[in-house]
Amino acid sequence: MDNQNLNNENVTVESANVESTTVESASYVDASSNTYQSEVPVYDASSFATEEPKQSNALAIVGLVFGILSLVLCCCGCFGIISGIAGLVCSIIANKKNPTGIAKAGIICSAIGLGLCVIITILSWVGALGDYSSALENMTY
Amino acid sequence: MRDMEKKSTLEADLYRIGVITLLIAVPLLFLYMKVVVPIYPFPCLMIQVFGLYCPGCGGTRAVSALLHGEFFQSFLYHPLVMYGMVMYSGFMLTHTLERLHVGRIKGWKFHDWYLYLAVVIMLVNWIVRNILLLKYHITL
Repeated sequence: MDNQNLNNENVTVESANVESTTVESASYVDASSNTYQSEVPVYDASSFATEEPKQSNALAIVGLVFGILSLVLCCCGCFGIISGIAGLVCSIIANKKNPTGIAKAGIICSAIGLGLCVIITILSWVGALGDYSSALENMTY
Repeated sequence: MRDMEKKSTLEADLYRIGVITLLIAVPLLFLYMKVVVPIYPFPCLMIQVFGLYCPGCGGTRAVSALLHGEFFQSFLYHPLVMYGMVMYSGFMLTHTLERLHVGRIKGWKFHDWYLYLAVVIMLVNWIVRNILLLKYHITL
């Protein structure tokens, strides 16, 4: 029984040696021929990283949530402006790190929300309030 | 395997953000609903400037109805509030139970369409309300 185990171990050791010698010989052949080397594609860590599916990160998600908030709160001035700026900053940083759909949607929503907020706030400050129906004058958002 | 680790990291990040949001938003919401609104209910500037409903019209009433347990009424006032509440509470509850090892409950996976759907709900609500206002003069 022990002899059998020893024999098996010897066999595996031998096969491992054979594999290592074949690998060495292959690398030797590659190193010797320059023309063959030039055709071999070079894989580095960055090329593998780009092949991974792009996944939205938490910052992009926070940016889009702030963007939605800025659109929802665009009728009450300062809250909408604050969330719009926060959403725009988060989305732009996230888009630079990892450009995903969520980050782009965050930039779009935040920009529209911020723009609406600024326009509405300025117009209400300068007194450009329209005379709309009396049923709507007590309307809160 | 690396993708799975990334997803779990993303959901762990979102869970932490959710806890921080809860700690900040609940006192602010309480302050706003109990102190600010009774003294000075913010007028909707958009309807005063343009004569149109803003994308968040009905939001305060929806939150108020939700806090009073009137879920259907809250949905009618603004569906985004109800949608956000369901998604947020579902995500946080399942992840909390998973962390406490209650049964075999697994935390919700985050999908991008959750947020895209939120944007769509908001836009559809906004457009429908304004069509009802401008064409049929129905105020909501």
